[in-house]
Amino acid sequence: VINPQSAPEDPLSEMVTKEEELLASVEQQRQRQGTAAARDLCAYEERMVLLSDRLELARVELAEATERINSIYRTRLYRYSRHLRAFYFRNRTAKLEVEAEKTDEEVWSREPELPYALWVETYDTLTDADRSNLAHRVAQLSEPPLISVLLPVFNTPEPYLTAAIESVRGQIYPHWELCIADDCSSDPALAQRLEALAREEPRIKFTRRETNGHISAASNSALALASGSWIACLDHDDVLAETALAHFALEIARTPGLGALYSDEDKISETGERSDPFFKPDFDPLLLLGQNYLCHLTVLRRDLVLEVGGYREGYEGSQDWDLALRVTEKLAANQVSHIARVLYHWRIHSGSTASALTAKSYAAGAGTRAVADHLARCGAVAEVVPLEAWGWNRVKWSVPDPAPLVSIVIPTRDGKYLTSCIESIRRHTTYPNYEIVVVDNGSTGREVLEFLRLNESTINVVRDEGPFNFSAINNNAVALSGGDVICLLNDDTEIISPDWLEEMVGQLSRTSVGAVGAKLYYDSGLVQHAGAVLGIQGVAGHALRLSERQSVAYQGRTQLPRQFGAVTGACMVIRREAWDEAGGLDSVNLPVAFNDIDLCMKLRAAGWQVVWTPFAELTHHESVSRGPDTEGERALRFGREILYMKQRWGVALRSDSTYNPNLTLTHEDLSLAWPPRNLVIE
Amino acid sequence: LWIVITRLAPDDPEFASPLQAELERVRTQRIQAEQRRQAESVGNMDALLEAEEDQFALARELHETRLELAEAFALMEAIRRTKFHRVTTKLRSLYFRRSADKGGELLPGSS
Repeated sequence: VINPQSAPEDPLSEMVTKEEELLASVEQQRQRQGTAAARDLCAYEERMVLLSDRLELARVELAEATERINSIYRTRLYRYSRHLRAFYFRNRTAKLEVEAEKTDEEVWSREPELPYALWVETYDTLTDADRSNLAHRVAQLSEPPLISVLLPVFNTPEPYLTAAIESVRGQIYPHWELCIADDCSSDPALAQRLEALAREEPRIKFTRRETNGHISAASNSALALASGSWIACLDHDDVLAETALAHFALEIARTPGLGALYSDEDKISETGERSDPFFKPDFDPLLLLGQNYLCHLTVLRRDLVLEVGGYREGYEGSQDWDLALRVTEKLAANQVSHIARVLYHWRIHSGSTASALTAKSYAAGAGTRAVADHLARCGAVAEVVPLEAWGWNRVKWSVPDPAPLVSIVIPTRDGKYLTSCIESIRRHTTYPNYEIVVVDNGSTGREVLEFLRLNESTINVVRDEGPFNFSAINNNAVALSGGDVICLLNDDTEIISPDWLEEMVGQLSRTSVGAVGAKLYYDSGLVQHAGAVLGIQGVAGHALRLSERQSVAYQGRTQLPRQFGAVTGACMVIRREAWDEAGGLDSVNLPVAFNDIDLCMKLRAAGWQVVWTPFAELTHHESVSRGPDTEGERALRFGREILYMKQRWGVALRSDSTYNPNLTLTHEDLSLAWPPRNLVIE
Repeated sequence: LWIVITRLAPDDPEFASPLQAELERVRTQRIQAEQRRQAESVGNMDALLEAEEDQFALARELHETRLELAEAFALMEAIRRTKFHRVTTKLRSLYFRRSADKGGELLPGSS
């Protein structure tokens, strides 16, 4: 029964209440982002002070050293003996230079001043206050998880084994147990030492295998000793960071429902110098098919490990990859957490896979089999092709049968490369079912018009006489096209890989994938696009732009398919369903720039994955048709588009989960971030 | 919902108007707050980016200063290792004993 007196009140009151709730939510969001930014800036400032102090110290030392050198030059003996020295030591300068070079090398080998060393010194060196803060946080955990560290050993050099064990014993987090399994080492003294260690420290358990069973069997022996709810596997010559288990425990407590966690890692030399950090993206199942990027340190729920049967024999060398695949396929992506901190140091020495894959050549074959098994278990129609040079895999996803129609949409206005673009598609493309839609945005050149007229029987030509608005032009063309799959393609591109469309549509065949990007090269052959990272220079930038075609920089970042925050619209394949859901490109706010980035962000916000593949290769004569956006009205428009992106996406632009907070947002080279964006421990 | 409101509101203007006014007021507040949030978000991002650029520059300066320092030490070491320096050690020690010019003593290991 509706009370007539209250009827008018209800809808209006509801709206007022809703508006008030929205207002409160906006205010909360505003305060949260303000607090977060202030907190980050404070942390930055602390490091600025630290760096400034060190700079001051270095300057003082440099001034002193310079003064010493000058004082040598000023000595009377030095001055008076100039001619004498010139006479007796005619080749003095050469000798000095040679000796100086030698000395230089010695100085470097004694005190390497490489940027990563400085980064570690500045951002990854614990103070007593850091230790006590972390210990305090850990002590506050109501149910601290017991973490069993598995340590299979076999003929391990004593210093490395001691370092590995001591790195566990030195953990800030106290709730651990170390499960050591000796795989029947030839030196009995090693087992005796470990037995003695187990007697001395109750948290250390030890077993010795009767026969040598290799790494999987030995890991299972260690696993059998474990009683913790979580397991972590430590290689017998590697080292855990002092904070490793504390960070894992805090993350486990903070995020209920996790099944697996992993951290970033770096290498450690025989003399303990750290190098070659690997800052990873958040969990990316696609990348995990190409390489075991989780590797170290991975922490897994023990019940899940037992459920899948532990480590499999026959996969030695990639047993951890195989286990990671079998565990993670039982989890949702949000049940796998990434701790973006270097918590594991991988020893480089002559026999470790850290130094070269060939050191354990059997690892690569086992990795390929592990991935093939995983795909079979998941019912995926795909083929695994080993990339032998690097020990990685390429997964070739099958195109659905029948192959969906792909509408290749190419906007142009007197495109200088339009003819070669379309001819390269026709000449190279092996994909069986595609249509080309050219949107002519007011071409006047006779050559282009003639080309379009002559090819009108095989190309759908759409006339769009409006002002240049890349988003609107594409949106209109897509609306007129008929494909279930859309391919946005710039008119200044040329196809290189014949199976580019098979590869891109194949990637799209997985239902979670909304859009796929390609690998683009400049005319010089250097990489123009290998995925876009959000936040670089404010909005987005091309990862590893200008790297070599075959570069394996950053753990093969430009050689393996993976998820990205965004991919360029210069060549983007997108499923129509996803396009419609995202509403296409934003023609109102982003008529020219960043509309592709915005589209990808909308797709990801709606739950679609955005994927990039290096196996679809094109040349991109970038911005040849339009020129750069650095002057006049174009610069103004570009500025507006940047502002819009920042306003619309805010902090999302600074937290690309496919990137890493320890990597820079000021350059495209994936160099270190100064400072990292995770200084504040959550 | 809006149609219902607009149809019902005139039936009871005395009651509806204050609520409508309230609605407008809160809505305006909300829009302004959102604009403020967006502006602050941009400001925060720019401030962070600027701070990162500053810190990167400072770190680079520190790195370069340390490189210069290493070069200076290398030069001193190289001078110390020259034959001239070695063969004149005795001469210099005698000379410096009688002279206020202590320059030669500044070299590590020169005495």
